[in-house]
Amino acid sequence: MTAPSDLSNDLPRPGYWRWFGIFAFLFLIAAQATGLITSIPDRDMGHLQKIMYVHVPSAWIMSLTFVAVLYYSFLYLWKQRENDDLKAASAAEVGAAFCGLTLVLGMIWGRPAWGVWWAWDARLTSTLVLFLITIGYLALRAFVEDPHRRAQWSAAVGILGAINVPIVYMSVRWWRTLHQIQSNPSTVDPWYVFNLRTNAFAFLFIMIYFIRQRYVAARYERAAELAVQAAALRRN
Amino acid sequence: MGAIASENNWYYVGAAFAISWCVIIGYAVRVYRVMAKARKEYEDATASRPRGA
Repeated sequence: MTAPSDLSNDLPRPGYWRWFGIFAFLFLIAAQATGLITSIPDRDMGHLQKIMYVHVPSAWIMSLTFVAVLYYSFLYLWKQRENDDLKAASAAEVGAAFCGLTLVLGMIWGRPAWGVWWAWDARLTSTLVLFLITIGYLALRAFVEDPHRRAQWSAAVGILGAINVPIVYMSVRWWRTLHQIQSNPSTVDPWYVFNLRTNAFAFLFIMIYFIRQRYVAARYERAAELAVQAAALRRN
Repeated sequence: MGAIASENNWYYVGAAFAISWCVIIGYAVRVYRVMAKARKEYEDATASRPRGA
């Protein structure tokens, strides 16, 4: 069983993270402005290519959050530390936001590029399944009150969701899909590659900041819960 | 220019970047609110603790 009493001790303080957050947002503004202003129109897609600077980083970051969910879920199941469960939950919530964003941006890309907002092809469908698993993960956490049981069940769902990530990635190679396969940097204009990587780093910094802040908030939520329980016990 | 390259594509590009910022700012606001609420609850809960407890 978890020893929850250690949660209220040594609660994290903002410290340098506030500055990191400001840096992440400024970096994102600079990366997006550079991509929008300096990127020349693509021969086939014209300005539509610029959606790549938000859609692709969002998809990459979504995958990374599920790697974090997988890691902390396993860590929780192994060591039974409540902090690992809170880290997994924080990563899952950020992952849900980026997964939803990836889907919406894909639809905005798909309408002019393919002529449809949505197609039930393997990449889109597997990403939607991942999104629904993540929503299920968050719903599960909201409905189960016992912290140990909640952590165990959500770790299982988190691992299930993370298993879906390689399927999402490989879906364009394993099945015939409307979605294009992964581009090779050697076949893309170097300036496109530079802008894509810059935006990917910007999204990465935002992801790290969000997960950390959500984790701190989760620690405070749990510490408050424990303090209320302790007060109730003293009254009885 | 290919078939799908058009000036109208700027609407889609604008929508994509605007939605990205809505999600990012929206989530930042959500985390800020959750954090503020959790801190207040924690401070209230610990402030009501009797001395020596």
